[in-house]
Formats: sequence, structure tokens, C-alpha cells
Amino acid sequence: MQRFVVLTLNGLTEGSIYAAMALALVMIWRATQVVNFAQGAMAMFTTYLALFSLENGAPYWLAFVIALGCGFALGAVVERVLVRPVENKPPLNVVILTLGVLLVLEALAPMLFGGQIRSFPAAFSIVGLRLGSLQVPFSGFDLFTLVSVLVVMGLLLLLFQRTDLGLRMRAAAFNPEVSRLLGIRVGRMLTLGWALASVVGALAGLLIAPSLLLYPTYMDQVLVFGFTGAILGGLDSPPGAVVGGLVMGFALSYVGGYLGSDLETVGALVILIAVLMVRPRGLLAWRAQRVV
Amino acid sequence: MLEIVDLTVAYGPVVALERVSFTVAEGSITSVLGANGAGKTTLVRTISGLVRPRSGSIRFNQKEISRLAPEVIARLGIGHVPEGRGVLAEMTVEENLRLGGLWRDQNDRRASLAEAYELFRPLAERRHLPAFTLSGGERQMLSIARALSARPRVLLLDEPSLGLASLVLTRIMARIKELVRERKLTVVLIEQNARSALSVADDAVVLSLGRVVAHDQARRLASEEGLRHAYLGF
Repeated sequence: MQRFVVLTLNGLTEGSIYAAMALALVMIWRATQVVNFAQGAMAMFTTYLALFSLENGAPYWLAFVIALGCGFALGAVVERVLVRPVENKPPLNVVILTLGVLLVLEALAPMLFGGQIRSFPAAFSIVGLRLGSLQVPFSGFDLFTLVSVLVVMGLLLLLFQRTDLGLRMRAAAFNPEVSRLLGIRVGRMLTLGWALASVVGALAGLLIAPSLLLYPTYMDQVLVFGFTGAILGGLDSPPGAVVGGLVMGFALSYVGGYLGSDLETVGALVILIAVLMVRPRGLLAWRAQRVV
Repeated sequence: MLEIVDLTVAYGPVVALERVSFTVAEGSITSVLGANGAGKTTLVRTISGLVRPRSGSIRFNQKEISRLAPEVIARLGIGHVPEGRGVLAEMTVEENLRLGGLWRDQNDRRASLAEAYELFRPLAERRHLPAFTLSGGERQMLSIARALSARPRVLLLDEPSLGLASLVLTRIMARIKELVRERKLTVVLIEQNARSALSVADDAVVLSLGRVVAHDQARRLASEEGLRHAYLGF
């Protein structure tokens, strides 16, 4: 029983990071119908920038903000400079392009920051919290991870549901032509969508770095798990991405804990195949097929 | 208000509009008529900037707009109700309407929202439902209501009768005529049904294979039997 609690709490924390990654992928998918395979590499790169800032004397929170800010800029640049020119080309072009960005970033990182495995500090203690005399397997940093992912999701929800800017971003993603007829600068909205998604990705990178350690490919498996979570949720539903990410967190934690950690990746693959066979439109595909 | 001079549009080697010229006066309704493929939709898509002309000019209030981006043209005050798929199906009715009034101040926006719901009752009942739950006619209403909430100075209507019950269409056209009288709204109306279009329009332009074959007052065109038989089918 105690083991189950530990695995569940662990699944919750990791799941919230996969959820953030899935959310970033879904935001970009909705904005531009692109699966951004470079999302993990972009987050890896911004986390290296945070580490670089730390090593040059920046306080933790400044480095944190620098990473998020660079995530914003990186997302905007990738969309505007690289993705925009292939927008109306066959979809395979942009898939190759994001894979290219992934390779370039993963090659660039060791050149700039060195290829060895580095440790990355956590903002809060990673020792389990104490409730009275009981020590729970859930640390201050785990709590911070969970809360910051929830806060970011809440802010995005507010942006998209309550503000004009969010309304314009959604409209631009759903129907560029009609949006332009309503006076919306669609290109700018799509760039902003990529930028915000990359901030969410960068956050995931920062939050998982203390437990995975930092090396140029450390985000690859997070991308795979996040992507699986996004598919679970149906790829175009932000709440679905969050649920899918959490499901992945729990499932992988149980697989790793009860069957052995070597099987985690295999577990992800099994889940992915099972969902694609049984509910190809995602677990949350309860919504009526829309009629156009 | 809207001056179109020698406008030529081509899709690759296919010429869709050839040296089209006509003027639309402020506070009037001009109907653009013609068979399928005559170039009616291309014409309004070119005015709103979705299609780039090969040559010629479009002036709105003496300002050349034919090379501007659609979002810039929209903000100048040219509203376009596209044929058929104009609503954002994934968004609610109210969100669609809010998108119409994006560039206006809060009070104004509230007023036009209220006005839209008064004019189109079915939309008020479904305000929080996604637009894909609406019938074809209701979507058309939403598309028109959204364009009106932007308070455009020129309104381009592409086949508004599509899917609308004739009673609803009559009410919409009555409201549009009111706006034409009260606020000097200028309307370019594309219609397949020439008879009903000629009954509401002041002027009419008849297109055939991308060329203007007639441009006159609507009631005079309606009385020209040869033209009616040749191009308008009644």
C-alpha cells in the first residue's frame, strides 16, 4: 500500500510535467496543424541557458525567468522564420523541418555547453515533506512542480476563454481566412501561439531537469511521453492533453515501480498503440463529430 | 465610396475577372448578378483583399486598397460575409459575435451584441452553444450579425439567401435597408436569385464570364427583357 502511495505521488508530479509538454504540443497543433517534434529540444536548450545563467552568477529565479523568456523568443523565431515559409507546402515538409530543428539544437547544445551530464538545481528541497511525524514521499519541489503547472494552465485558460487576445488567437487557429476578414492579424497570432507553447515547454524542461539531470537528449523521452499524452487526449483538446499527460504519469510510474523501470518506454508504446487501436480520436473524444 | 477600375484577376492562366469597372455610391445597395462562374465571388474576395488582382485598382474613399492585406481592409470598415462557411464552428455563438466587434469600445460592443440578439432571436437562445450546433440558416444569421456588429461602412454580402427561410431573409434585408438609410451603409450584394436581388438593390451590375455586361439602376435592368433572358434567367 505504501508503495502504491509513493508511486501515485510520483506519477502525479511526473504526470504534471508530461501534461505541460502535451499542452505545448496541442497548442501548436491547434494553431498551425504541426506536431512540433523539436518541442523537447527547445526546452532542453532553454534549460541549458538557465544553467549557463546560474553558473554566471544569476540567482535561481532570474535564471528561471530567463529560460522562460528565451523559450518565448525561440518559439516565436522558429514559427516566424522556419515554419511560416513551409506553411502551405505538403505537411511532410514541416515534419522534416521540426525534426531538423531538433537535430540542430541537440548538436548545438554540446558545442556550446559541453556534452557531459550535468546536475540542475531544484528551487525547493527535494526531500519529502513532513506532516507531523510522518514523512510523505512528496517534496517541496514536487509541490512546486504541480502548482506551477496548474498555475500556467489556469493562466492559459483565462487567456483563451476570457480575453480578446485569446479569442483572436483561437479564431486565427480555427479559421485563418474568416479571421482575416474580421481584422485579425493571423500571422502574429500564430507566432504568439508558438511562443506561448514554447514557454510551457520550457517550464516542463526546467521542472524535470533536477530529477532527470541535464544532457543534450534528456528531453527526448519527455517529448515522447508528452506526445503520447497529447494523443491520448485527442491531440486537439487542451483539457485532453492535461488528462492524457497525467494518465501517462501514473501509468509509467506504476509500470516502472511494479514491473521495472526498463519497461517504462515500452509501457508508453503499449499505451499509445492500445489507444490508437481502441479510441483513435483520443480518450476524450466524447464530443460529437463537428459538422461543417 | 467604392470605385473599381479596370480590375483584372486571374488564377494562373484562367482569367476570372477582365477589366471590370464600376462605382458604388455611399448609402446605396448594388447587386452583383450573374450565373455560376461569372466571377461574382472572386470580385468580392478581391475587394476584401483575399485575392490579389493582376491589374487595376480598387479605391475605398479615394484610398487605394487593392494591395492591402485583408485584415487591414477589414479594419478600414469593409465587412465581408463570405459564402457558406463564414462562422467559426468550434466557438460559441456569443464568441463569434464578439469577434465582430473586436475593434470597437466596450459600450458599443455591448450595444451591438444586444442588437444582434434582438434581430436574430434564435441566436439569443443558443448564445452559449458552439456554432456547429446551429442549422444552416442560423449560421447564415450569425455570419451576418457578426459582420454588422463591426459597424462596417461597406458590407459585402455573398449569397446571404443561401439556406435562409425567405421570411428571415426579408427581415434581414429590411434591417440592412434601414442601416443604408440611417447610417449610410454601403452594400454590395451578390445573389444567385436575380429577381429578389433586383427588388432590394438600387443599382445592379451583371457579370458574365468575368466581364461587366450591364450596369444600371436595378429597376431599369429588371425591365429589360432581353438582358433578363440572356443573363438572369427570369
